[in-house]
Amino acid sequence: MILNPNTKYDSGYEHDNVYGHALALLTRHLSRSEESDAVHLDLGCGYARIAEHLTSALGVQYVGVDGDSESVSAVRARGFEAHHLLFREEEPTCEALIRILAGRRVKSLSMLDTLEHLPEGDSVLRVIREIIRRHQAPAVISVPNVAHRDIGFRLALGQWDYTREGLLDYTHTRLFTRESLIRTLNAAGLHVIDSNDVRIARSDQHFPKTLPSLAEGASLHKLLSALREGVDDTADVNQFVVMVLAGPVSGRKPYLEENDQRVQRPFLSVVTRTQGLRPHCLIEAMTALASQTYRDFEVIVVGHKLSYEKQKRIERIIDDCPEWLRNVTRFVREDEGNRTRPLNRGFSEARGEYITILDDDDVPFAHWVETFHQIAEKSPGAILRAVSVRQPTVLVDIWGQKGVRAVGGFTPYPPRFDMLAHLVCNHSPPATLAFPRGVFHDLKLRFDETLTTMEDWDFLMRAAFIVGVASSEEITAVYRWWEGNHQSSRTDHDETEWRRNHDVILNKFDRLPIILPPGSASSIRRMHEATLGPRSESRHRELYRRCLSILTSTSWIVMAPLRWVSKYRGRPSPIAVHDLEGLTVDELENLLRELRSSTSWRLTRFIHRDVGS
Amino acid sequence: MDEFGTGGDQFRQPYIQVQSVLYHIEISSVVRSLESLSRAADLSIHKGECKKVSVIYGDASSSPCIDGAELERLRERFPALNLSYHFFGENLGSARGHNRLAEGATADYLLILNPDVVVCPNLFGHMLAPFASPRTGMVEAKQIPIEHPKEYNPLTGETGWATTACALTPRKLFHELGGFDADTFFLYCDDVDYSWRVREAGYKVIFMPAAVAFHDKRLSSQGRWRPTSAERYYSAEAALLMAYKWSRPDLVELLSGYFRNGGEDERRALKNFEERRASGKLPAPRDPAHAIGQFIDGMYALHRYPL
Repeated sequence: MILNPNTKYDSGYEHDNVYGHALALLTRHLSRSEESDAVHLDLGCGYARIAEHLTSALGVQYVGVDGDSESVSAVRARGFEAHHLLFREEEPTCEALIRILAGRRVKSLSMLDTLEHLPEGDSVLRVIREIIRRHQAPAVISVPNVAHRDIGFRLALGQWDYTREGLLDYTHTRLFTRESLIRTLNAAGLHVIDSNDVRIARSDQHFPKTLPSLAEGASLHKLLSALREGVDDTADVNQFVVMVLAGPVSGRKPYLEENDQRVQRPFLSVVTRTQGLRPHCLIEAMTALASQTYRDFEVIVVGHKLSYEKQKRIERIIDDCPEWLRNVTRFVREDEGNRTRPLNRGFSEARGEYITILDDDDVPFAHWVETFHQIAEKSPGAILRAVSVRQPTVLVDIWGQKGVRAVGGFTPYPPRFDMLAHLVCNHSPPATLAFPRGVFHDLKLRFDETLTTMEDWDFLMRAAFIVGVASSEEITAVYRWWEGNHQSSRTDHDETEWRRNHDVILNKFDRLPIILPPGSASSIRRMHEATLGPRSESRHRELYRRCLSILTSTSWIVMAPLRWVSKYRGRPSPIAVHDLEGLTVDELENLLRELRSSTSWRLTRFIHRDVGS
Repeated sequence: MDEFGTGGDQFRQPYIQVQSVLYHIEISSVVRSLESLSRAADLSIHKGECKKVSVIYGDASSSPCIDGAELERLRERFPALNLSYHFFGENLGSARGHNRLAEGATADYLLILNPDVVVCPNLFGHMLAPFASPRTGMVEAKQIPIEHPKEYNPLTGETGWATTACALTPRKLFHELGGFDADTFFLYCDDVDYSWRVREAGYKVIFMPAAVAFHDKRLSSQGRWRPTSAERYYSAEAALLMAYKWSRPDLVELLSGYFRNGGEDERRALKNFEERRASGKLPAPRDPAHAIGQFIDGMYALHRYPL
């Protein structure tokens, strides 16, 4: 079947290669056959190194089929039935296989590492479906994984090389990820019921060894790996090995059509979580949404652990909204988890290009969505950030109706997103942020459900480390700061719990590679200088002056040839004047010690009395 | 039985006229407001809180904000609102504009509303509730996202005055008091003055925080309200007129001193005030014992916090 003049595809059976994995799948689901006419049909059998193990384990007749005459002869020579057949159009192929079977019952079928070579692969899958449908048998199919990290990380740096065989065999006509394989199978009416993928951490595409995206010790590799491993579990899958059954044809094409490529989405999904404890606040939030100047958004109200009465109340509030807002709002019930779960639920339901959190006690200004849209136009794909003001509030009850009373003025949060300041604590309430859907739906970042507070900060930072933040200085939301006895996350969790969550988050930051925005080097330097303090600063100046005096002194300069010889003998290079600037007090002290004890300096003692010693 | 409110049998399901003065406003803002009013009216009528709601616009712009075809579309889209529209052909200001709109009104209550305000769905029920007391003369909705900082009683809602961004008052009382003092006030403080006259007549002004009205205002990056030049001028002018009308000549002198050395808007406001005084066009001072009017730190009530 696989016609490659440059290779024989004769791999032996191993329990951890595709043969072993395929057989493990079959034995997991099939018992040993007692029927004498039950066969296992192996399409694209090659040298059929699975045949002995398969017949022994399943008690079936082995029937191999391949387009390569040499391998068919070799299989027959080992005493197994094998047929020469080229897979072309659907109907003749199906008829030919039926003739080969000659009325025998198909107990199972396999097509291993073959589909990717077939120009008419979809037809062959339909043939497989027809045969296993008639016999109510399972089939095992395997294909190489084009989304193996070795391929992806090489391609990230522009490297793509076909090889004689392997993941990028030059005779491959189709390439598969897990998702595209499932789509292809479903289009042919085949449905995955189990899998047993072959995993190889370093594939045949792991070259060259020191490529920064591939080499395990390189920062770039660590960053890419952290991202890739978060997305799904296929980064180290060499071959997908799946068991399928015949079922309905999905109606989708095996490839993406134009509609799939450009899904119509609202600009923004607003996720509002509520416990139903403050319906009066939710009414305010919904009224503010009804006032938005830019309406390309949807609202997902996630009711968390609501009683029946509370749920009815929330649904009533949604139903009371103006028609257009009601039509873009949906209620989702979540009965599990802590306060973080509704965020994951809401984000997973979100259809928007960007997703924001509007808690039921937040109040956005009329240009809240519009401002996000303006930032997105300028910096697509970054986290969008505007500014909130904090306002202290209390709850009042007047004429039998609960209402919110502001008791203080507005305190704005910082106008720009400062990554370094955010490494210490959060300065961005949720309603000031809109996340590109990709961080949740593609990178698969999730709100950490082990956290009971500050889950938004943790998520923000993990997303910001990767996609960055684009800011607008517009104030677009009021963040309510509850005072008095009103229940809120501040009152629900004690100080110890807040501190514990804070520590957990800081530890998480330390485990992650971080991409800092431009300008961070200066910010860090300034922070470092500030920590030196005035006393350390004068000491720094003094040490700097002394080191500089030595390095620019006549005696040091005249001894340069000697140092060159030392360097030639493998001694470390002496420091250059321009490097002094970046040294700390400790480093300058060490350097001064080294300079004074150096041969150059000692040999010229008699001429450098003028230099600080 | 109360004099104006819902306590009377004939007013158990009152008729409310919503009235707004338009001045060069974008139609999209008006539509946004109508969408919310329509839903609020539907709900309120369905719940039996009121029997009818009508919306009347008076347009003080130099050319109509709403043309005939647009008006027809709006009437079709919002049948529950019994929409009517009058082009004034001149800039009457808010006080005279509202008086004009109230002239032929037959409704039990007038809801004075800024035309771009989006109301909460249960607005009418919440605002009618305090009229169960015969002593209620005016009810104000809470504005969001920038809540007005003036003090109100956190148990009863009683307050010194009500802004008319969204305020409800019995039509009969409005007419008895002569409506807004349009001869004195053009744009600002007509609501403070009307509120004080409501209280002077023995009624209460109630603030209802559960009744929510979204008024599209923005903050500066320092978190401060951003008044326009016109707002600075008219509020300066109104401040002088309020102090004069409510018998605080000492404040008139004090403000005059400030404004004389103030910005261009303030100096212009003072000049206008002095011209009116010279031509005898100032209102007759009232409340000589200062039982009603409050002037505290440049405001017309105690404020809970600076804004």
